[in-house]
Amino acid sequence: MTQKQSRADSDNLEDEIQIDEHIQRRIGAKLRAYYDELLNEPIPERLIELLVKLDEKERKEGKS
Amino acid sequence: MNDRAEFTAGLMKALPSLRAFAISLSGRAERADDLVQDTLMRAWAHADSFQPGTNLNAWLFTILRNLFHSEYRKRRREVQDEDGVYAARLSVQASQEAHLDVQDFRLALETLPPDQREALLLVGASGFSYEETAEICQCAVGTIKSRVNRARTKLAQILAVDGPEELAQDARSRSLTTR
Repeated sequence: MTQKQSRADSDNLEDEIQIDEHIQRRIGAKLRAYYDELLNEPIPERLIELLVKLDEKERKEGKS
Repeated sequence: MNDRAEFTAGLMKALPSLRAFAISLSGRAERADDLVQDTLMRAWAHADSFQPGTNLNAWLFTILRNLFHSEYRKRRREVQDEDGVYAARLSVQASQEAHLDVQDFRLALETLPPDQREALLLVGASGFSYEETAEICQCAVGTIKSRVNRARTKLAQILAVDGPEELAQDARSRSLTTR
């Protein structure tokens, strides 16, 4: 097996190989910037109301 | 009763991260909110099966993920077609622009296969360990590591994130030729 062939083989196993730390850090930073924006979005009222209603219902049923 | 109050508080606290995960998975805010709503209702209905003291977030993310996948299976073809369009558009963008912002990152994320995307989101953004992520996705830890690695590699190619210019050029041409 020549050197070129073994190089091609390792390319096929790309996902098995740890990618460059520098690239990994930059992808990580981009990912967190993207995700932080989502985390900081206001929560829609309907979701909060749903929890409040479920909680109230539980309290009432718990007392009776 | 006290447990239930604590449970509710836990759900409330988990809302932002559940929603962020749902949006990242489904790509659309409206559908994501429906997904979160279904998750809350299912969590509430099955509250008895949650063991207090264990990781509530991991439990909730598991529910949301399962709901997403049961819905996703129905839409698989439609989503894959969209992916193709995004991927084509992105490789053009990547070769034209050096700077890619959050919006571009979102588009790049959408080109990833769902299993890789969710693994990357859980490990890289939601703060779960590889072990917790494996439990949420119901697969082996090694599988998660491989998926995260593939996701990072693909994103690096699409976004042309590389060190020296020479390498960046290489990644761009590669991302063009592999499509």
